[in-house]
Amino acid sequence: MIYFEIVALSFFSLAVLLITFILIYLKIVNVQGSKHKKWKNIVEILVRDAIFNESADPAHMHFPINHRTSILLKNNRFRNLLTQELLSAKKNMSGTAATYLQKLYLQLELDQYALKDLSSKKWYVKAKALQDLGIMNLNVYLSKIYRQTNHKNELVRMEAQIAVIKLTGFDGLRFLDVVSYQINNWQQIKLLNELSYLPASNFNGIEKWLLSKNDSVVIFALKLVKSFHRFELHQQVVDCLAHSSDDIRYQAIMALEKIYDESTSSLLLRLYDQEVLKNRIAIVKALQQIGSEEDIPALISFLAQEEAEQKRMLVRTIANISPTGLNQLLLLPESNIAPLSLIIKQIEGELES
Amino acid sequence: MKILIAEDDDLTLRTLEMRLKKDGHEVIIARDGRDALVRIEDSSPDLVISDIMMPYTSGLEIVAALRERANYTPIIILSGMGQEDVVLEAFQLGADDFITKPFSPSELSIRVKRFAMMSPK
Amino acid sequence: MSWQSIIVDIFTYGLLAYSVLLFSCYIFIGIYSVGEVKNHLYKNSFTDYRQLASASQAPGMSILAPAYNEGANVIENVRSLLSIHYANLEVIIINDGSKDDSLAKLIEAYNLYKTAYFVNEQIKTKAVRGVYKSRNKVYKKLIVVDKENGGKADALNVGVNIAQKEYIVCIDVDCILEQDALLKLAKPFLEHTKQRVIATGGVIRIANDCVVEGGRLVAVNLPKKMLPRVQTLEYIRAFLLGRMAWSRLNGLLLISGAFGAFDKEIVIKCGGYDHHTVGEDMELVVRMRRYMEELDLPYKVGFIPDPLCWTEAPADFKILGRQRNRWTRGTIETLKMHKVMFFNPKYGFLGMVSYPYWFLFEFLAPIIEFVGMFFFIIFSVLGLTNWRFFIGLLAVVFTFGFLYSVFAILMEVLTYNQYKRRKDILKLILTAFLEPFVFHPYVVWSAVMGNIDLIQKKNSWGEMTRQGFTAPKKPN
Repeated sequence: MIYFEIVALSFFSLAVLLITFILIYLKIVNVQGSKHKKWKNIVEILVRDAIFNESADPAHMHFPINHRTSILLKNNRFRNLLTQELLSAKKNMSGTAATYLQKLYLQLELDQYALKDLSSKKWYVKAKALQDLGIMNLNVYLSKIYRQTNHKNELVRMEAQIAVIKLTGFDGLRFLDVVSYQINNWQQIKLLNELSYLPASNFNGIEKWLLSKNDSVVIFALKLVKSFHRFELHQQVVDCLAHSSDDIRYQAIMALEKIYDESTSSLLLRLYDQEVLKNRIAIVKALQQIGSEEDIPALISFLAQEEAEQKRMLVRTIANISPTGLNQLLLLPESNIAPLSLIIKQIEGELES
Repeated sequence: MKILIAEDDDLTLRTLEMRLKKDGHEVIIARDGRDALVRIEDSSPDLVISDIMMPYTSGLEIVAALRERANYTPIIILSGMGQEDVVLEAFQLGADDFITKPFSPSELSIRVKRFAMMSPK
Repeated sequence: MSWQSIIVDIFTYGLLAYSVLLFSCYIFIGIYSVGEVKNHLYKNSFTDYRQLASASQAPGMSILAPAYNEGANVIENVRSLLSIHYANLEVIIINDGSKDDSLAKLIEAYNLYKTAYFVNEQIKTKAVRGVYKSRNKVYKKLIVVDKENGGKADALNVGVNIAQKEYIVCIDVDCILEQDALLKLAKPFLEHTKQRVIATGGVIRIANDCVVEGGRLVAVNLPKKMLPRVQTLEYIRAFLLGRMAWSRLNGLLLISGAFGAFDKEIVIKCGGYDHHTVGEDMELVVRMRRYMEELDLPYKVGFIPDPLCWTEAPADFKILGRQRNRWTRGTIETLKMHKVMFFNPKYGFLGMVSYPYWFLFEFLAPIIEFVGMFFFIIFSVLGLTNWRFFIGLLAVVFTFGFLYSVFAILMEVLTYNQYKRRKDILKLILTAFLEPFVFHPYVVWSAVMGNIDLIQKKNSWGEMTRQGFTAPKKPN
């Protein structure tokens, strides 16, 4: 059985090879680590000078770069370190400090490297470049960035969409007109986050997006209505309550909680019976904010539902709408029997604290 | 003024420190909530600037802790966008002002000067 | 051709075939995991998880931490859970009828009062004695539940009944979490549009001899003692290679009980944790997967290779033995409960690949090894052994195991590089060399004992005493 010996020997040699590789790699990493520490100091000083510059003439700002630094700039790793620090700073600063950071970025021609990365075939290089250009607010590359908002790779798409918003504000949302892929919830959170930095404006397009064939666009549009309190879109949101997707109806309910009018609460209550459990709970929760005493009888009638979580939400809503609501509950015959009795006790406790 | 900065992001911390030192204040730094509480006890700063989300203890705990002390110490909280409910809570607990990130170092400088003028010293 | 030599031949070639099959699977797993880890690291490089921390639509998470006789540590542990970077969070500590004064300590430390809480018993559990909240607004995320003793599964089910958020995160109360652990665990639930993510797990790392201060990991060290160190190696192999590969195939059967997130709705629909098995964490994941398969709904069980959670590993043989015994019994019980899936095409990949793999290689391997050794001794005594064959086979098995461990160490160094010092890596390599002699036989023995104990129907968790973390070095 000579095969065994050969196989065992080859396994072992391979292991030794890998071990050698590991040890060499560790050595390199550790050596680079100490170099990094020195570089970090240089980078920090550069960035600090940009942030705290007292110059009176921002338009013609030029940062002095010594000879050593200009040589280091040709080194990829140093450049990456510098870029990271600049981006980190730019994300945290606003005002003149941010302008100076952008000027430094451009002066060192770091945007050229980002542009080169933008045409890379590797998705992670492309995505990072898009992110960098967005953070640095380089509007001049807008069209190149916009082209990537419907890219087939999800992460490239996401970074392009965020960058476009950073550069053009609400106008950047026009990719919603044409995007064919679904926008996942994480991306929606990021987009809303990005939009929250912009000064308020009555941007257009939501009516269009509420009718999109792309379900995720409809959901996002409903979130926009909610975040930006677009009262004038009340009717269109109500129309979404008839959509076939549970999630879209759910988002519509959440939006109506923020842009309600006198008719909203009774409208939602009429839909209660046909809705799925999750949406029923959402309706009742919304009524905590938008309900009035007239809605209490309907809410009490829903208590006949068996599901305890619904019962709890109903009691909480009724109690929060008005103290008379709680009294009406206590008059019910079931209010002395569990689970209703226990639920009422809990809600009473909540109101006290 | 003696100012304590509690912030876990290194860059923000250093920027704040530099800006305030340039303005002539004495600056004490803390990189997490626990450290901040200890240093508040040790050095009794005139003003505290704290991030709202930090390791060990939240900025809210710092606000609460400050309000329990005998001397009134004003506190400015730093928050990211979209944290309105947390900011509201901080105000309910007794915070005096807030600044959102990204922030402008010069704006911060002005806000701090405001507290210096209001300070009894 | 005597009947004796036929038996010996069947035995030897059977063993050979099994080994080849096993090694091929390991090779496949090793290589297949690489792409997934690389992908994940690339994504990480430009992801800002912090955005999730304060986002109002971040998925709501209820942390469930069962506690039993945790002693004075419980206050610090709860504090570190409360300081997690996440807005939409509630922290539910379930006191499983502790005999010590942990509850009293918590009530005092966090200014707790008993509320009139209605417990919606969606899953049947032992009685709840009280639900406590804090009077202090700063601790408003905290809920402490006191209940009759019923074991970990029962305690978790109480947590599920009480949780109000969409996702539950089950955690061992003395686990040390990384800063962004919850954010990283939450993200997969948001990322998939075509499939429903029903659970995600992360990497568990060994915390023995690491420096911990106030519930937070300050410095990573390789465990000093041999036993925890071998387990460090074992965990690297299992998590970085094994689970990543299975996750990529969407065939992951197990999420560690120490730290994992689950879709609460599905957990309740499945009936919660099963307290009849000691492997309740594995069993729940298998049951949840089976539920989704039976309903023919697209789903995924996610896995994050980033180190998220640090826990203490057993440092002496007796406790290690009990742990491995319990794991074996848990695996067998789970496999038995879901045996309908074995090679059943109705269950897709789960039934055709995951379950058979677990059965053949996780469950049977220690038994085959043990039986193999047993017969080997008999055959040698009877003078039937083909020594050349066996020594050869042993050499192949040994060198393959060593190679696989070295490969795992290489992956660890190339990715997260938690153990940066050269001498630590050399120690790990040495540990890989010694493992087959010092550690592996004992683990096989414990597994076999687990089989025997199960047949004899022993049913306890055993007392898991913990050493406690190394006292932190004084900073000044």
